[in-house]
Amino acid sequence: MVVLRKTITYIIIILLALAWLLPIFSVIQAAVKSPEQFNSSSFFQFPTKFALFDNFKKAIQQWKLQEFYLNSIIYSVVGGLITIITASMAAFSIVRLKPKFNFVLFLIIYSGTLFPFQMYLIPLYRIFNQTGLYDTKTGMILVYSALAIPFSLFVYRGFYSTIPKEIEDAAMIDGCNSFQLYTKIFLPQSIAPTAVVALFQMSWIWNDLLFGMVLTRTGNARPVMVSLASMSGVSGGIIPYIMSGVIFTSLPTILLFILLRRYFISGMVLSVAGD
Amino acid sequence: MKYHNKFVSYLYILPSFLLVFLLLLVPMFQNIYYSFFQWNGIAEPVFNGFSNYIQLFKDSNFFTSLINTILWVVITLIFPVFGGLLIAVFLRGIKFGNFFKSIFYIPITISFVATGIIWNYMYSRQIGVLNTFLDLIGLDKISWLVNVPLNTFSLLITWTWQQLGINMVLFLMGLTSIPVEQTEAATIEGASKWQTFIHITLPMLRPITTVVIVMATANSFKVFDLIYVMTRGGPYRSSETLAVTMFRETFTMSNMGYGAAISVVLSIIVVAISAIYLRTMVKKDLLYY
Amino acid sequence: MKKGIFFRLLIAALSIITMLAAYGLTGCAQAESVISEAVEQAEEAVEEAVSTEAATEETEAAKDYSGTVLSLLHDKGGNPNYQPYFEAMGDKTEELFGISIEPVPYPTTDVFIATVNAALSTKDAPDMFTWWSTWRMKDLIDQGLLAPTTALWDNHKDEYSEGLRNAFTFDGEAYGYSYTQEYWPVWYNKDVFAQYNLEEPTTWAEFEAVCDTLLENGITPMAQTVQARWPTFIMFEQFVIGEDPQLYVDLCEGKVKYSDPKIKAAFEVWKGLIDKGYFTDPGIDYFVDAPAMFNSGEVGMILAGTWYYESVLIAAGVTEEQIGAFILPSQKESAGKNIVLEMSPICVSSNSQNLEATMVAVDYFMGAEGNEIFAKLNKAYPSNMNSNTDFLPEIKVKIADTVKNENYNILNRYWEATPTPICEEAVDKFAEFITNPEKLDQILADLDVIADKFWSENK
Repeated sequence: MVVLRKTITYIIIILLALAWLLPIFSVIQAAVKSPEQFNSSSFFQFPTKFALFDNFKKAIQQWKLQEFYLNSIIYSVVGGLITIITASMAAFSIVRLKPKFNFVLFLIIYSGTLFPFQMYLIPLYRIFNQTGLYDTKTGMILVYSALAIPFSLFVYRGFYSTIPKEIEDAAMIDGCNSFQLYTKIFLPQSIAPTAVVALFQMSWIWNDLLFGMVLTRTGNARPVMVSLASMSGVSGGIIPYIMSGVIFTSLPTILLFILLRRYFISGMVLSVAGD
Repeated sequence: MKYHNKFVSYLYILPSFLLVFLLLLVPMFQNIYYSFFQWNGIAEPVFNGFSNYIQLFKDSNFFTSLINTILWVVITLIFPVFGGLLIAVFLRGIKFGNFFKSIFYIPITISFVATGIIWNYMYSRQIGVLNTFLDLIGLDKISWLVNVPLNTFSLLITWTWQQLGINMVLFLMGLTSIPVEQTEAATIEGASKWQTFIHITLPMLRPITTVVIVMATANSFKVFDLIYVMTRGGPYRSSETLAVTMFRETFTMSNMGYGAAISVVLSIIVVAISAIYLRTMVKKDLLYY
Repeated sequence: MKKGIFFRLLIAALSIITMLAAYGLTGCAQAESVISEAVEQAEEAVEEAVSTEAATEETEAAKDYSGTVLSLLHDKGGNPNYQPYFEAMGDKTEELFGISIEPVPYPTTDVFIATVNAALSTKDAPDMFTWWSTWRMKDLIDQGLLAPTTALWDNHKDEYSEGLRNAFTFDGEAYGYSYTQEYWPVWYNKDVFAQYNLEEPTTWAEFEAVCDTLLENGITPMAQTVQARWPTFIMFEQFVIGEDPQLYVDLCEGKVKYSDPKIKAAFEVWKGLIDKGYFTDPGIDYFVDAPAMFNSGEVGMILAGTWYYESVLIAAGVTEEQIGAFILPSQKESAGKNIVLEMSPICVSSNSQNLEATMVAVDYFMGAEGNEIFAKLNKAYPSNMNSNTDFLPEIKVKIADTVKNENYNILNRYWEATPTPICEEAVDKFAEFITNPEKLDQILADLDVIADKFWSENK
């Protein structure tokens, strides 16, 4: 009876896992075929030659992915860092220093997660045009940070409220000021929530299409997802090239996930528990 | 007693506040302001009071879109959320659990654009992978993204594929925090697995469930990129959700004011739902004092 | 262990940055950087404006534009991909005048349109951008956002047909220039036609006979789609024109209602063909599925612009020998011989910061040599009549000759010929018709509402 139940569980899980893998397999299958072979062979025929790098070279040549790739790396890293610093500072103050209106301030900042992004789009475009931030890296970094801060603040706030007050009191007796308290006590313990924020927000920034599409124009500032979407364009495109682009542009976020996986779970536990 | 002055404690919050205020809140209020205007994005906006909002309730497309949006939320709760919970329960304690976990989790790291491109290929009528399989077993090809209402469900399959992993991980995390003694005790007392699940596990998962449901609901209200990349809300506006309708009115039809009004309505709905969650948060916060 | 070090390092780095940030905080770093950036940009803009002014003064003496970079916004970066062709145009102007061009592709047409609309009135206005003719141009001209190019059209007076110039002229002023143009014939699979001894049809009856033969042999005669939204108007415009070309023009201009019996008759013809199974399932898409089906002989014919030949069919692996083309005969004899023309303007913004250099470049692109660059690379028709056309594939030469020699009536594509707000709603209604032909009356009534709303607001 138990064995039977176990077997059924395994079968269901394995079938689901296969279903989950099918799209990924299909992408790889399409990306390694040359366009000629892709056009003439069926899905079940395995590629006769490994054309992934040729396809990829072609994709880079035609759509200049590398330029945009670099932009997106800058946005993810710099935007992620700004978010981590500003959000953890704000959370520290809200949870521990508790100035007047701290909860109101938290709610105001947190409200940024509530609204659909389209809400900001058109006014932002106009503001950017007026201030000269349009189509600049600075502008994109600012926008991405602003969009990432609300959720990150939520995570840090949840986490910091689990740090026992005694530690803080002890530090105070030692004569720490608030800044030292933050850098010496709070920040070093923030590995887990920082992993959560880094994973979520850096991959969010990397994956954004909407803001990149509307607020930039040239290779100087465009993020990579816009060029990926350009490859398939208004309509269709050459599938092996597109799929090699899909793989190439998905690598950073997958790597980030593998790197931060362990910290991510514990970070999430503590953040949600503290709330 | 205090080892810091008040001014400094605001300074810590200032950068976050400024960024959010200047780049999100100001545009948001401008957007609300524009929703009272007729404006094509080129000429000067013309004030027209509440007529954008009145027009909304006369627009049959708005209702299709609203119904689709609700459908998205409901299905999201069933598949990515409840399905995520089930898989989390199944995966707990089985061999290779981590390996399976990773498989379900990979899609969440892939962008909406890439997901849309991948699934467009899966669903393509002629060269699509799914139809190739149907063909293999002798069934007719299906227009996954064109047949109404199948197209919305096809989009939801893609959505489930992408979103299930995150919910699963969150539930798994909640499950590990439940002490084993509790469930064991129940089993000794003769409770079946199902009863234990309903009476012990679920109630103990409540905090995490609230977080998951609120996050998933808010995300399903906001979903845009995926639908946009895959169907553009088509054919004939049948798969539009409010976020897509808003985008269409703003960008395709150049009705900036009308689009703004839709985004305001959408925001009100999302905020109202989040409020349930926010209320508990506010209550807790008041307890601190 | 290794990871521990990694994280300690990360936290150390963070702390350092935090300290710096905190020190800067007293000076309100974030706000300041926003402001200083803005000021910097504003200063740059002023400098730029001054330097252009200075340049204007200098031009009389020496026309030196070297170092000028012109932006060219377009939404043709996917399939077809015109980005390399626009780049080649820029290479040429850089060589000749020192004016380089930076083409900027947009992934979707909607965002492209919205961005251009919003940018045109600002100092970030693109110098040039691809656009659509007639109604879509008129919207911008009414707002004063396009720079007239009348002088340039005068420079090349004898090199362009009068009809083309008229299409680019609004209230006596010409705007933009035509970088290429496309006809809309039917592409057919020659192998399939040969296999069943079929000839290119010259009358509607012959066309129906071809379709019937194909159908009997298990081949879908024509491709049709509702994917990607816009291609739904392809058959619509064809059958309305086939009913009566003047009716089509009047419909586009709002002089005829969609519920007009003659329009309904055109829809009935279309419905008849759908019912008979002449079309593919509308779930296929025109750019990946359709060429694949064409290549494998599952679909016999595809109605599409001449751009389809090179950038879709050939790109999908169909060989030149396989492709034939004819112009679809009207279903009514009285409608005469008609073909749809798609014009391809590149417009110049009136707020361009490099207006003068842009005009120099456009003047060159309008000339026989300049107009040829794009056309040659894309194997497309140049608009300048004096341009070389050796590079055109035989099939395109044949189409152009037929249009010219047999005196075909040339009509503007629906996408441009009717006001944008009507067109954007109508293509969705056409999609509804294609998937539910039995709802015709309701759809025509809906179309009337859409058109009436526009025409009552815009006289």
